[in-house]
Amino acid sequence: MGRVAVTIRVMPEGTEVDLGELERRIRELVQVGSISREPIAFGLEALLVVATVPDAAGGTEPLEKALEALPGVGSVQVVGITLI
Amino acid sequence: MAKPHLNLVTMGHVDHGKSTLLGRLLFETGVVKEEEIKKFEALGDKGKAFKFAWVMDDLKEERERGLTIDLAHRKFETDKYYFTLIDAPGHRDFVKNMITGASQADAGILVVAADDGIMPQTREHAALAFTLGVGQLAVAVNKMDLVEYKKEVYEKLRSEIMEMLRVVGFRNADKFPFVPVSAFHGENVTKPSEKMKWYSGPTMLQALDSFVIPPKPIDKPLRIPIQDVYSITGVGTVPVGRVETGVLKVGDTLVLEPSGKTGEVKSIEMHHESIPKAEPGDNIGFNIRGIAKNEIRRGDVAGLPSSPPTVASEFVARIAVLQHPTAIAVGYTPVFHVHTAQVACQITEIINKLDPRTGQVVEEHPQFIKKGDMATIRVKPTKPLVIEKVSDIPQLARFAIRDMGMTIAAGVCIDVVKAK
Ligand SMILES: Nc1nc2c(ncn2[C@@H]2O[C@H](COP(=O)(O)OP(=O)(O)O)[C@@H](O)[C@H]2O)c(=O)[nH]1
Ligand SMILES: [Mg+2]
Repeated sequence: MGRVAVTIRVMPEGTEVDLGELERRIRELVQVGSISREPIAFGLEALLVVATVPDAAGGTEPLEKALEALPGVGSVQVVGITLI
Repeated sequence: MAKPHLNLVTMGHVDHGKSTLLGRLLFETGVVKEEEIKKFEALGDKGKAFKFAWVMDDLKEERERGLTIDLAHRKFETDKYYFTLIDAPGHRDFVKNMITGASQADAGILVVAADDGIMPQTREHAALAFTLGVGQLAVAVNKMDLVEYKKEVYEKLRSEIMEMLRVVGFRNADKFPFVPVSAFHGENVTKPSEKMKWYSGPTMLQALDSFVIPPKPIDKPLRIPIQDVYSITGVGTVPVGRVETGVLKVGDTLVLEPSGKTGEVKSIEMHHESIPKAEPGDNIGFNIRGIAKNEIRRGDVAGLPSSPPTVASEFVARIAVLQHPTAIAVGYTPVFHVHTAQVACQITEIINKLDPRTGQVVEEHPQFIKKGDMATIRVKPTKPLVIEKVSDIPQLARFAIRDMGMTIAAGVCIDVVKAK
């Protein structure tokens, strides 16, 4: 079974959220390929998380749900998927 | 001028040779070196068979342990373009991401194995490409070596594929380049094949170079589905989202639907830089005066008061049922994922059922529809929802239907009853 590389934009709840701390929590929760900062607007930054999930039932949902549930996360959005 | 960038999605039935074709393209354009291919060959028979596929599926073991995710092998360039390759996952649950995701494919490669022909997933992927608004495809008729490079096999399959593409909606299918290739042996991939002298069209690489950059839909009404909204100290209310169609300018008065709230755009930023106007594809935040943070939510759509986003009290859609454990009947109320909105919608009528192979109506008002069916349905959102007709604004017409943790169906809105 193949694996799918998923790029997810994680938006913080607000500008006061400590992104370093959020990044640490994400790394504890999922095995990520990379996490980078993405400047959005007016000082607001998002985290771009690249991780893999199996090319199987469920798709990106378990990963999305897990990230959404983290304290400090406003919303998550899958911005890219590709088989690898 | 910088070389333009093109996102390419590769589609096709499993094992028809997508990875092999991409690996071969990277090898022959010099992204992948001979040594890497030799390394796979040295791994025995399996390595020999999959050497080009493994270029794409590189470092398999490490990857399975989640250690490396190498997206570098997903890019190559020609004299004309930088290409980024998106390989469509096989499982249908990912259809949701392709429909609501932010990375839009500009063009597609459809791979069909000559010895196998059109398979269910070939048709499904082609239909998905159409739903996604991927307007240009190149078709690789692969594994020509397995049919002795015969012209007749290619010609017959070519006309079958063309017919299939027309049925799923591509009216311009006869303009698409079709290329007979052997990805494994490198015939017609970047060099014209000696084995298929009867073919005089482009190689696969030339076919990719014949793609054009799709024009940005700046002439359509402004639509910005809201991803999130912030209240930023010293700035004010800042909705964040991606411009799908039209142009947003500083000073514009915006209306947000379904709430109908209006406000004035004081400033726009992208990547922390102030910009005077934003165009389709731009991920922006904008400062709006006159609306509080709690009056806007994810799934709202911003537009101009002169052509406001359409709030549907009811809509008609064409759907393809991708998977469902039983059957779908009137009354079913799954969640529709449309742009950034997620709203439970009830199917109030199954207008007709269509044959996915011909597009013809096979039954009026069927009792139920199931996996593999195409149908026209009437839908009632359980709360106000912005959705547009595909003939007006296709970017806001497509949706995925989810239920029980599965992607049940993909579809497009073909008609709307306006709520106001
Ligand atoms: N004979 C032959 N085999 C091929 C060709 N292209 C791919 N294959 C084989 O078909 C199998 C599946 O290929 P792969 O690229 O993994 O398919 P994918 O699932 O579409 O990515 C592998 O064993 C390949 O070596 C071709 O042109 N000729
Ligand atoms: Mg593959």
